[in-house]
Amino acid sequence: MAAKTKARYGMSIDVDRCTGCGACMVACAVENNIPPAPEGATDRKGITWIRVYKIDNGLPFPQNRSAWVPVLCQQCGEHTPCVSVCPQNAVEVDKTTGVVGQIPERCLGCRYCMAACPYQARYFNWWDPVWPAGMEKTLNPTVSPRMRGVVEKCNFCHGRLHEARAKAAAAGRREIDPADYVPACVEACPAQAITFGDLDDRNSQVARESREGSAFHLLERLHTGPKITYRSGRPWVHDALEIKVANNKKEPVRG
Amino acid sequence: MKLARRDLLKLAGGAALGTFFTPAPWKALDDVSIWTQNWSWMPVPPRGEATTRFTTCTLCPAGCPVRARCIGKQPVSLAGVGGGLCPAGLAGHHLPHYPGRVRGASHRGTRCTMDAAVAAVREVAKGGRVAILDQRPGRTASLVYRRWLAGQEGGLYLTPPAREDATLVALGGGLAFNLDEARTVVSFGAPLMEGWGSMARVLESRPKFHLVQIEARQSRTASMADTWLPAKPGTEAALALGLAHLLGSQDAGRFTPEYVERITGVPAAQVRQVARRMKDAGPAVVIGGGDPAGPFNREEEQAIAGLNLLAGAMGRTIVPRAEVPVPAGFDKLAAETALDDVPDGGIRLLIIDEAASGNPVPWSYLKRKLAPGAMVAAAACSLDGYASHADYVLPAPVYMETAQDVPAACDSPAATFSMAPGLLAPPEETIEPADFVLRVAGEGGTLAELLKARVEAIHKTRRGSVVTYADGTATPLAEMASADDLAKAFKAGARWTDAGTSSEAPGIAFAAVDAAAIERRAASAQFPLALVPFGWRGAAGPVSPIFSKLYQESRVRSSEGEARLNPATAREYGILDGGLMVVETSCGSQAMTACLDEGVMPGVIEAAIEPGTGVLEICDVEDWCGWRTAPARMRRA
Repeated sequence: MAAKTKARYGMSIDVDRCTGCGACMVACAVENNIPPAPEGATDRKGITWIRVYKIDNGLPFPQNRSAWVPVLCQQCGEHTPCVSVCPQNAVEVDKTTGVVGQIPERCLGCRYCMAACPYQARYFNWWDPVWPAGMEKTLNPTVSPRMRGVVEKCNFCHGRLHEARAKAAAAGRREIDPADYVPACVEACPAQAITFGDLDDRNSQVARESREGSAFHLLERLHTGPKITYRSGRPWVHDALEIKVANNKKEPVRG
Repeated sequence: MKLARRDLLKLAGGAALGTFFTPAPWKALDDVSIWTQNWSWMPVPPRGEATTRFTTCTLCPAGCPVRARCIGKQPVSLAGVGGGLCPAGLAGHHLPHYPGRVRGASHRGTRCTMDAAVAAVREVAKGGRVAILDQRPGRTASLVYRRWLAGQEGGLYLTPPAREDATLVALGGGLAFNLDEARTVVSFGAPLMEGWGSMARVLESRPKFHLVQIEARQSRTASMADTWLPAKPGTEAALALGLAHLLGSQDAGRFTPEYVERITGVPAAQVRQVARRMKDAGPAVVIGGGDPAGPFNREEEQAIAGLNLLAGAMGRTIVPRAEVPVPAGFDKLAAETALDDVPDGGIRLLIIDEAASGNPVPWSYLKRKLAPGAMVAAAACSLDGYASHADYVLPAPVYMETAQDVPAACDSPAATFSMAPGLLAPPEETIEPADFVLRVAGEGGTLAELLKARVEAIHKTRRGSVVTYADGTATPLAEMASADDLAKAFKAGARWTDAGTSSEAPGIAFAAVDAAAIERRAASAQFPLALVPFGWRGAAGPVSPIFSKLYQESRVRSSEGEARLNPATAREYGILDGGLMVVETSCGSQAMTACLDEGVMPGVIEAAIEPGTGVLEICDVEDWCGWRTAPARMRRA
């Protein structure tokens, strides 16, 4: 039997476990060589491939309750909005992994994809990447820094995928070991709120969790087929999160 | 055929038009895109062989095992071993490049030599009344401080008042929490889900216990608790006495649930429910320390700690823990002194070990304890903290630059010992704070030598086992042939855990709680407005510049100068969301930006303690060393 070479990678995020510590954001920035913010950067222009949002149930004190939700590129599987609007073919869906990849070398910075993304999960480089003196030595060699004027976003740590593939190839395997390919945010989460894996493998933890009754997708009515599933036993979380994402104040297009 | 000028023009025009139908312009566009990604000023990541090394994080008391991916000797990413890491731990390898790093010894802003600093401090130390503020007690460096202070006239060994083990200290010390056995955890503001003890251990035990969080703020822990009791700021001890009353304490006769409701605002039925749970739902434990925002006072700590005795926690969820063996020569050690026991003006020389971050103490409070003309020497890696007030600033190495030992966290039932080997070379002029004290004392030796001696002392016990981080294998210490083998294991990343724990209750006789003092304080705590500071573990010290992701670029953590208010409170004072406001206390005022949040208790102003905001400095520090809440006013700016 031929080894399985195709996968459909996805994530399951347990909102009830997330403590909102932000470890996923820091791990993502370290892994993907995202620089610290320049002085003028705000939450509208900052680059956080994964961003933790605070939501609440809208009730007054003391009934008010908060939750924290990491939002990243939802890796749309159908009608991927950013792919269809890019004039440069700088956004591609990898058929072998299902990962929506951003190719900064092709990107012209028109930001159509940012306007098209309903999840506001794409980020524009408003500044050249600069690290404090000496900190360049700590950059991850498997990921190139991007320059001013291009869009970037989560790609499920493609550097780690390449490393896992190289390791599999070195061992004479066609298929990667799932333990070798874990995105940085998943590895970093102290609360183990994020699960990652192949959604096509029905026995994988991520596939099982994605089928749970408390699981939902963001902006499901848009039929974009996201591969990120959220889970929460608190009914208000779903609505509060949709409102938060829809009202996101992130700077999409204007300069 | 005759070529006319017109034909040439036609050819040029046709060629230009035709070019658009070839791949050339698109290729040129593509290439331009690629070239413009590769300007000379674009940083180039290091190249080289990738290796994996292990260490132990020293940035907070949790002491998490760390796997470092290195290119050459340089760590380029960090990850937890068998679990995640906190944001500070994940970016710990950035600290050697912290932009505000202290690069050389200085005397009041002027560079000086280390020898001059040592000589000056030694001279002042001869006059006695010397104190050392140790931000991270329990290390081998702490032993160095305590040994030297024991020989000094009026030597004071000080530790930060807001400690994670405050409840255990109030119970007499030599104890540890055992959350694994707990079925009910009652936390008085302890940030269990944000950073307390070992996060991995807390999260592992979390499904087993019901968490009751007693706190005015809707902290992350309060949000994730099974029950959140938002007691008014400053009335937590009254609630503790209310629970004590229901658990049968004689000291808390007046504190009926209804009386407690009047003081704290927590419904009597909920107080009864929690007390019932503590009695009937399996072993309970009560935790009352570790809030980076500030400590409880002694009466409050005693009331909280006393609940553990009433709930039968001793020997079950609070267990005795042996000390990690100490090498010879440390027989006489100075005892810990509480900061509020130090008379005002009682210190002539204050040395601060700021290299290991701890929960901050307002400088105004420390200053009160200094005699006129007292000298302050701070061993620090940045000028963000106490070092900005010090006469002598000594550049200290940061995490990963020198070998450090990591004592057990307060929730480790067994004594443990691990090391953080120096993965990187420290800058030339830095000095380990303990080495500075050894030089001042003229005792000779270095911390590195003492660490070696401590490893030998552990090896001599032949007890317990050593777990290596790389593969998780446990080796009985008795099977390690020599202390050198043990030292090698620590350098490669390992943790020694003492064998077993005693289930024997230590038989602590608890001091009677001063209920009247608690009642007086709770009654006086009914402020029209209360400023309640809050903070994050480790955020008081230098953090990686990448933390802009948390503060500036996402605001997942409150930014500098941000005050959180209930919309009703804001309306009352005419303050708008995002508007500027001024918060005033008896100690000063601070301009802040209002952030309206329904999760904030009406009448409360929540403000983050971050380096640079000065929030801590406008908190009213009471005589008992407390600043958890301060009466405040506010107005629109």
